[in-house]
Amino acid sequence: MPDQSNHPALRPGKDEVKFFINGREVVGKKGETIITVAAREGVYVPHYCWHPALSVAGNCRLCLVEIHTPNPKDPTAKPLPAPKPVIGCQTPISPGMHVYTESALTKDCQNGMMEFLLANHPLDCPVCDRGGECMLQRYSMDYGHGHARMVDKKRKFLKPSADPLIDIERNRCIMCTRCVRFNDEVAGDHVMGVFDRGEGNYIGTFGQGPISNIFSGNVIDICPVGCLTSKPFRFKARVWELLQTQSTSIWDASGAKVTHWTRNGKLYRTTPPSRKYHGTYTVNEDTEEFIDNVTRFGSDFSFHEDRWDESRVRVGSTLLPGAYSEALKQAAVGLAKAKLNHGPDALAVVVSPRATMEEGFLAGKFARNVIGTENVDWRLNVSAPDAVHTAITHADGDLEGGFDAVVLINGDFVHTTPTFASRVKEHARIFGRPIIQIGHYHDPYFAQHSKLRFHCAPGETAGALASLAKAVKGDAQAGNLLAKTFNVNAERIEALVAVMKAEHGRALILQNLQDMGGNYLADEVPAAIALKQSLGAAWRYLPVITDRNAFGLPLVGAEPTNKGEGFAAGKLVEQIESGRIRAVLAIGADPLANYPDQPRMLRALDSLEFFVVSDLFASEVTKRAHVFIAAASHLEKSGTYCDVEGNLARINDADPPRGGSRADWETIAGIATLIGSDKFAYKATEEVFREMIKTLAPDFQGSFKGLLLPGPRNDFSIADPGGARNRTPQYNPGDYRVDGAHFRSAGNEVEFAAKTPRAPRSVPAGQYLLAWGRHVQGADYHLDRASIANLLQIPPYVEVNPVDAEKLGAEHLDGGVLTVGEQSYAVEIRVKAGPAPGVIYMPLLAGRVLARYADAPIVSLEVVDSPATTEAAAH
Amino acid sequence: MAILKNRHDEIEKLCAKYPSRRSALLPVLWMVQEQEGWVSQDAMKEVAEIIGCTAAEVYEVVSFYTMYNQKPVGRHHIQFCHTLACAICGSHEAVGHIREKYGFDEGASISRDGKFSLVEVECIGACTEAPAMLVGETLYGNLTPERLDEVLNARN
Repeated sequence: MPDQSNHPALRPGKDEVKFFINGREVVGKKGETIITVAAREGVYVPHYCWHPALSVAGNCRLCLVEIHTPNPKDPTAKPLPAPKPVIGCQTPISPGMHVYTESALTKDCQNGMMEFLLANHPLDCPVCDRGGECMLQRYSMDYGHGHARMVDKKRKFLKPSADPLIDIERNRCIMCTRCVRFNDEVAGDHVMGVFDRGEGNYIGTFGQGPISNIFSGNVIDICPVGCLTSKPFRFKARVWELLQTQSTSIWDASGAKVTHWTRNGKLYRTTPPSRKYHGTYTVNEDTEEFIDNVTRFGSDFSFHEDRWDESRVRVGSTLLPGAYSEALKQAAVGLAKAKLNHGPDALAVVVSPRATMEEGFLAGKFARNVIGTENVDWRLNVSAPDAVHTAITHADGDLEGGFDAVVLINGDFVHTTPTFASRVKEHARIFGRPIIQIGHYHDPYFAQHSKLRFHCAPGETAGALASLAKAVKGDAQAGNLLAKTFNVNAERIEALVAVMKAEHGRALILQNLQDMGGNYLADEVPAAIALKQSLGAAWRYLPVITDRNAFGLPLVGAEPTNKGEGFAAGKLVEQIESGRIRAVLAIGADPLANYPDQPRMLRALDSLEFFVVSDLFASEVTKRAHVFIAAASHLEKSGTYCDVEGNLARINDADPPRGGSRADWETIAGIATLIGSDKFAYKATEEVFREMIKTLAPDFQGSFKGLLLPGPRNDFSIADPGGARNRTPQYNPGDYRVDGAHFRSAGNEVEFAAKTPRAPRSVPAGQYLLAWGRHVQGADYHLDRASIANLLQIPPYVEVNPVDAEKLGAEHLDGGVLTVGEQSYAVEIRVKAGPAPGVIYMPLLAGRVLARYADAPIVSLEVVDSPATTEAAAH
Repeated sequence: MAILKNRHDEIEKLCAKYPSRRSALLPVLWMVQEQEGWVSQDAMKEVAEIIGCTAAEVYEVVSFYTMYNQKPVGRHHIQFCHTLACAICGSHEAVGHIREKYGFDEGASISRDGKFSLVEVECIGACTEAPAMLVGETLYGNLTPERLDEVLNARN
């Protein structure tokens, strides 16, 4: 839950409530409940249904506590015991109240409730997958009865197989309804419910359908018992046998923290960070750090059979496996030769957007110091590199301390940066902050909390933002223009302007840098920044993008310093074709990922004089390399990532590099050293990090403890059968925040002038404009090699506005055929209020087949009457 | 939009009675049941769309209230009380009589000819005339085998 200390309704001093827990005086805030204050004061009240991130249900009754309240007739007299115990999760604190969490009555209540909860629960922990991290197990030990008095037959349910990723075993359910509330409140999709009543009560989904949202995996963690378990992990291992490594998501640019659970070089599962609980590190079922399904289930791609863990050198037409050192030598020789023959600017270094900051830093240093070129970039998959650069270097917002209002510009935020989007929504939901959506696509994830929504045609957003800036300054004409663009009446515009003008402590403009159909970002980014600049200091600008390290790599010089001098990697093909680029060093970068004309890219790569690739898998790209260097995966190396808010987070190695592979930072340093530089003698990523941070923030005084010292941990209480030490670092949530400092690239202080709005485009009747965006699910060919990639990827679908759907005669989940130019795609039609009327939205998914257009292309959609059958794969 | 296709105006009138559309869920479900006799999964999806919630929420309500039939019913839907007063006065025998005489297969809730469907329900508030049953919305009490045949044959 966001920090409530800033809540304006709470005035220090005045709203303080003094009361007693177990005889000790404590201070809480008006409106807080017993359980939250107790948790803060270090007094543990057992609970199942209460969860810090969810609304209060009050149905497990395990948090019953005895309370005594002051005598109203004589406040000095002994407090009166309440007629019956109260539930700590729902009872607000009151002045002078005495709470007893360990009294005989409280213990009796806990004991009794445990017996009730276990009445129908099977007592077969040895065959339950939750064993070892089950709260029912733990509370039975701590508060339970010891033996069962239940003689009647236990209730039994049929076991449905509803979801491909999550197993439901209803016999074990204790009806805490956490999963139901999670889906409703956090995931924003009331897809699970409590069905039937009384003894027949059970949880499930409508028609045994899947829990189809990107956060669904979190119900596994928040389920306190063995009812909801992970299908891919089920019965594969016991949790106490696994080695934990604290790390961060490599998919989600929100910077979600994770724990990788490994054994014998195999990744068993990825969860939100484990926390110390009763001396053990476990996925705390009270975790508020929800992660998306791609992070949870897609992190094991490095175990795919396509993995090349030996380096290879081209001999004739084949790539022959060989030693790493030999490959490195060949790479150094080839690159040096290319530089000698064609000059430094004939070489290019491209890094993956998922490269660590250390790798980006070394790539930049290598290109500049060793080669002598500015040709280094990470923006291979970005269609508007300049706009992305501008946006990222002007970002100054974060969610720390919350916000009073937020403007979302054009985008599918929940599929771009899932956890970040969930935090924005959580804040808006809990504190009732207004969300304003502007643009040709509104995120349906925020629909419930978006009081003000303004749809416009693709390409008109930049003009609208400019008018809005003027309207806020009091320009009536701009207001009228705005009403016309958004096709709403003047009152709505007045409401919008009122929110923008209101006194805010902190307000945010969030802009989505996914493509959104057509290259509009070049106009929209300056317009959004100009709007922010015109609104005053309370307003902050925060762009988001799917690429994990998009904010870290520019920071450490992994893109050309001067836009005019260098090159953006999207132009790689043109540069190769014109002969300006002769040799390429690709560090985990996939030039095909988002490039529409794949044969052209492959021809270009074929024509290269020298091509070095450091990567994990055999692919169309790596097969064309002259030297292939086996790279270590994210589980086998360490490094730093920067998230969209500018917080650093670290990935830690769970295993040594497989076979003959090496981490990319070692490879770059090795090649540089072989070419003859003496400035690349690093022994560990920490050394690179220190040098990097010195250039990044010379005056920085923060502590890097959490980032730098993930030392071995010896206090793991359950003996590790393998004898291996648990590698869980001393971990506090604040550690990775680096003392609250946010790292931001310095942008030039440019006053952005608003541009003239574009003229609206005329679309023939019956046709639509197509918008698209990159999803975190469609990340790239690494994700395609995750063991359950088929379940993570979504079927090709389009979103259609209800107005258009009615015209089309289309219903939700109908099948359809989308025609773009001469290409046709079979798609599933989803009727959502996301796209503006006249716009069809399509995520750019695994196929990555959509060509890039300068303007949103005009498309047609035809309804095929059979309903789509691919719903089960909708994850 | 198939089941309630022609009842758009009625629904809007209902929804207008409440502060939020979701509140109209129960009456809209009644509309479905009056028209179809039962509430199918397709109907629940449709109601969800009309009301503006998810199908799971509709199913939560439908499965909570036994008054909503989740299975198809016969032309005449019999709800026979089996609570204490009626049980003492012979509801079990009466139910057995109906099942045997009006063509119910073992365990089936609808008669073979589809004319009758039968469920046993909790108290319907007619203890003074036990055993009692509801046929559709009409209450019949003091049921003996003869009286039962009289009532049901009139509808056969």
